[in-house]
Amino acid sequence: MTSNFINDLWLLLGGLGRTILVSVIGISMGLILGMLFGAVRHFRIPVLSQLIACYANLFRCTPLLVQVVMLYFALPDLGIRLSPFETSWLALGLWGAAYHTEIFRAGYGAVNPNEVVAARALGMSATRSFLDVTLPLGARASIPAAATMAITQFRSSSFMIAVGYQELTYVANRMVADTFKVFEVFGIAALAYLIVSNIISMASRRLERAVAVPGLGAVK
Amino acid sequence: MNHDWVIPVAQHMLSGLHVTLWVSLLTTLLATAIGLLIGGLSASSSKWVQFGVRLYIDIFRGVPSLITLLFVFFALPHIGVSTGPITASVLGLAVWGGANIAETARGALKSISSRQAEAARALGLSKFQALIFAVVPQAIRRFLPPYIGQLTVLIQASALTSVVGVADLLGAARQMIERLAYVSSDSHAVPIYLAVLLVFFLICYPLTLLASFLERKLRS
Repeated sequence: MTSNFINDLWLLLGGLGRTILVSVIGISMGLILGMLFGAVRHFRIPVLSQLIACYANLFRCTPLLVQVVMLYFALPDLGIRLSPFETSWLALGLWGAAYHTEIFRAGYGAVNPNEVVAARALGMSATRSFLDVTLPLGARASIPAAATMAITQFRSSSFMIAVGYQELTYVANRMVADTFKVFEVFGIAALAYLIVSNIISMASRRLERAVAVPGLGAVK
Repeated sequence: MNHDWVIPVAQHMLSGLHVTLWVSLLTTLLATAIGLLIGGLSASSSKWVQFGVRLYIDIFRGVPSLITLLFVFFALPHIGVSTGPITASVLGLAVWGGANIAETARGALKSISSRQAEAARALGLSKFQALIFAVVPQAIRRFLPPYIGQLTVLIQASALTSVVGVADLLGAARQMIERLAYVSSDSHAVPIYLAVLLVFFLICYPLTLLASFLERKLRS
């Protein structure tokens, strides 16, 4: 009985490990693409900006679960075969990037335009002033919203059960179907999600304080 | 190219859409009722009530919607309540969505300065009257735009019911793809899943437009 319990805990821990693995890749991908696409939207680069707006709307207005299922079950018809793992991080990253794009666009927009004017007056090129002024200040302003979205991405990694990737929810679901320990198993899984969500949220608040520029308008 | 499969598939998916709309509607109504009740309770001066409200909101907002859904799906028969997967899904999603709506309502109520209530009290209104006539009408303006956003999240979450075997739009699409592959061995996954994406987009995109329109309109 006890050894069974410990064995089950190990299985759940393995699931949590895979949940964290796809989340880290998916969140990183979402953040990097979001910073990039957000800049394109911020500068309203013709054609590219409209394409990215379409992409962001499409991915934000359709369920992640349908996107996941489509990547896994429909892409093989077009000759692209992805493993459950590849599907999981790719879906999480593409979906998250759609939200991060809007978050970073708003962040860049929150930077006091006078700062950019000052940078340009000092002779910086548009690219330089973006990299040295708008990006660092705008990214700071984006931290709270980006962290909330990162937590949402982490929790949504549970949808990967649909393609059989053995993350925490998949493992818990199988365990409950086998053992009927509904309250114990889902209780532990829920607790694990809560703990990691809170760690991300605390880390983001620490990061926000650590990189805050004293007395600057764009950052509280 | 043979297009005989289109009509029966469309008919089956239409009945799936019917289920999706019902699940979305019931979930929305129930989650809104829970959210407003719990959010309203956050205005209570009792420490215990406030603690309970925080506990409910923090737990269910930190846990994946799918975990809540699966928990209710497995827990109900476990405690002797036998319901179909649709009822269990609606309950699970509503308890989860209710926490998000409660947090939105709590934030909206809190954002209204306590001076507004004090002024109403000074005019001779009771505590309850001050809440209903002074605070709530102002809080609704802050509540409505994010609430509409929550509705798109709930509509998208209805696709999760397919995980527990409900033949909603996604579930119906999946059944048809499997059946077609079985009888004719050629796959139509791409057009069928694209249709699912399109239907969700047509429902959710106008709602996000409405949310951003209300946000601009109610801010002034």
